[in-house]
Amino acid sequence: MSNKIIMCRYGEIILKGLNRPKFESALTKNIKEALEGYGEVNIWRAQGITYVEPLEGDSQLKKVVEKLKCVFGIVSLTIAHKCEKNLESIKQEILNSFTDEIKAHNTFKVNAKRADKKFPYKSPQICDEIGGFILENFPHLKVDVNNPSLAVTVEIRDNEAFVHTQRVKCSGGMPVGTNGKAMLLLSGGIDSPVAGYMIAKRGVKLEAVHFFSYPYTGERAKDKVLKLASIVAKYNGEIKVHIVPFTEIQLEIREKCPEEHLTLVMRRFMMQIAERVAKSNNCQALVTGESIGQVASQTIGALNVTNDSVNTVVFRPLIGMDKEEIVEISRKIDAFETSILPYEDCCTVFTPRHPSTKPRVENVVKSQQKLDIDRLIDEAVAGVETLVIKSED
Amino acid sequence: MENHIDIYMDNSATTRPYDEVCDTVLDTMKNFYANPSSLHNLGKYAEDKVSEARRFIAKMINASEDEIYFTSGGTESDNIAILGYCRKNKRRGNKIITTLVEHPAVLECYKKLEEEGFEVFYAPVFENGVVDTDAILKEVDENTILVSVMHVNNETGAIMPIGEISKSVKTKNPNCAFFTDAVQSFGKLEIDVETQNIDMLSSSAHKIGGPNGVGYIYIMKKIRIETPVFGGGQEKTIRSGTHNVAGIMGFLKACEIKKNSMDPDREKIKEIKKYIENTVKEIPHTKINSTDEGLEYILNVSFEGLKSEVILHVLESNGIYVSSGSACSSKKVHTSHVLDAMGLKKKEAEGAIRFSFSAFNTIDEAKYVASVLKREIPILQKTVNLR
Repeated sequence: MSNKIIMCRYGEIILKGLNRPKFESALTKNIKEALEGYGEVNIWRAQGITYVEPLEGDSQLKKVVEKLKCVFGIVSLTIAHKCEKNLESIKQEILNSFTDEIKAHNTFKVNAKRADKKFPYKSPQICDEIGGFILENFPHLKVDVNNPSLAVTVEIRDNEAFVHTQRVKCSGGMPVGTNGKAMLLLSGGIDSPVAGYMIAKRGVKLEAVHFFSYPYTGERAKDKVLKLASIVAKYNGEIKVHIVPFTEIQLEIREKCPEEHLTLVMRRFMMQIAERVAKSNNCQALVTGESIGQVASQTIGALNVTNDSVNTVVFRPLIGMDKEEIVEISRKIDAFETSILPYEDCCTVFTPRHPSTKPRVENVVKSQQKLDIDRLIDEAVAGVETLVIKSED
Repeated sequence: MENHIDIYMDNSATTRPYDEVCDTVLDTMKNFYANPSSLHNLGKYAEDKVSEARRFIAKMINASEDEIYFTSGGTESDNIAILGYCRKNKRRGNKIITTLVEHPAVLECYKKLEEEGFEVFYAPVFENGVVDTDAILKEVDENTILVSVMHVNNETGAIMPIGEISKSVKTKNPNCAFFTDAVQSFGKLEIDVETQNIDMLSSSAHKIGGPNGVGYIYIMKKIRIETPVFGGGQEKTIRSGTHNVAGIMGFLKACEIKKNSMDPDREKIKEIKKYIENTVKEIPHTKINSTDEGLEYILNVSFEGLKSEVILHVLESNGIYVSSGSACSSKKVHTSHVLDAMGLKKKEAEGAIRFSFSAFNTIDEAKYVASVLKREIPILQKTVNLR
């Protein structure tokens, strides 16, 4: 058994108004999902804080904290030590659990929060008592109320007291699911998982489409995409991945469209299919990893051509970012090593030698005239295979 | 993808094991599970098994049994031999000569030794993949402590004239040692360390129908090495670590089978290779990267303008399993260092495929593979590239 409790704090802004209950229950639900398989926990809310109490002891605590760091909506967390609600117990807990930490500091202060107003000591008295006790036991310390290197916080709650010292920074954002649902176009590259991460952070629940061109791309390429999906799932919760059979369309485009427009026609098909799959799964937006000018199909002209093919709003969270900035986030979310595995993906197989960089919508639309677009899209959508991917660790 | 044909032609990656090998591994695990280093009788019986394998393998290459050291396979053998020998003998000179087409398990060791101050010369190869012997000999000097040439190249099957090279090297500098990575040749080609003047040799069981995870190094008696592996002192401290008795016995079984079937296997496989090769020749825009002089177990071909991985998946969807000669990432294609060294054009190297055979393959399989190639390659060429 452990006496430790994790206190999860959320951003102040979100607490305004009537959103709070909705926000809090979504967060609780997401925390529960994230901690599935990590042993029994108690979760409850009080005074604007969500408490998570691992019931299986300290061995579970570290992993639980790591999982909570990935749950959007939590701004920071604190590991609090629970003890009985009297000064003696609090002092004993400080000696038992914080000695090593206190020894490593030179200056300190004590914060007291008295939620239970019936507690016989008022906050300043608690500070005096506990501060004096610490000074007695650790004579090397000095008090510094303005800029202490260590702050010891004592909280008096209704049923117990808490002692804690550290705040762990978490992911911030809003609880996934509080801002609707969107469909992520997930390739095997670096950008799309990052785009997904950023949109999920704003509380949007993601599903994903992936375009699969067997035999031009293989099972390992698909595995790689599913692995990336499981990384997104760490933040998004379990994610539905819709695998779209795309070979037929690519071969048709290859045969019937001018080479310079191959990629753009392909991108238009992808957007339209993604939109269809999005609508049938109640997703109100599309998410892509495009960034201005990164490749020929992401120039302003090309983005206009792609954008023109759908009516749904398209989120492009990476649009103004440099590759290095994207890579930095990719590394942060542990997607990078998977993203750079060397398998063909559907975008690299049929690459025109000289793609058009200043395309016009009319010209590209004209380029796809020979294709039976509706039939091709219907067939692709009918062949969709949907998998539910959970976070791996 | 709905296909029940399985034609495995990726045997130079890992050979399909013989049934007898699988039986031997299981039997050994059940009956000789004790640690050969244990003092009691069960340990001794297990040790006897290991000795039996050691004797047999030593005979196969005309070495003596105390020159054979069991390891976990080719990579570990290469590492112990190369790093161990060069570090131990650095006082005698700091020059090493090898080839551009060695396996990464060898090349990466030399990269490491370059960092440690050794000078490494990488000899070029001819168009046929065979190393330029003159280039090696020209470089041999007083300061050269090691010449390292693989026996058979793992991508093309090119056979290097190791006996000749070693003899000439030793004429020029008798103190220079000769190492050969024989992972692709042991059990397939005759090896005689005595007449071929080989001082160190590495080999692996899973390239000849044995289990994964076991191999050996041959180190000639007078050669001194400083092992990079530390532990309980097994294998005369060269390779510490509990013996993989089951693996070693599986290896022995594969050796016994291979020893008796070396020539008939080669005859049969030559026919298979020739059949597929002739079919590929009939298809336009192709190039054969293996020669008739090479080891018939490997056939490397290029489909110009196509990408290896795409061909691989098309064959796979027809139940045929091969290796790709290049790896693709989203922005660029990494072509093989071997094919690059042979002077292949980028277009040729990007579309390289390796068929590698075993005695399990049949001429009927070759005919089926040929029919698939004739049907699928022109379609790919038409759709993907050559408009």
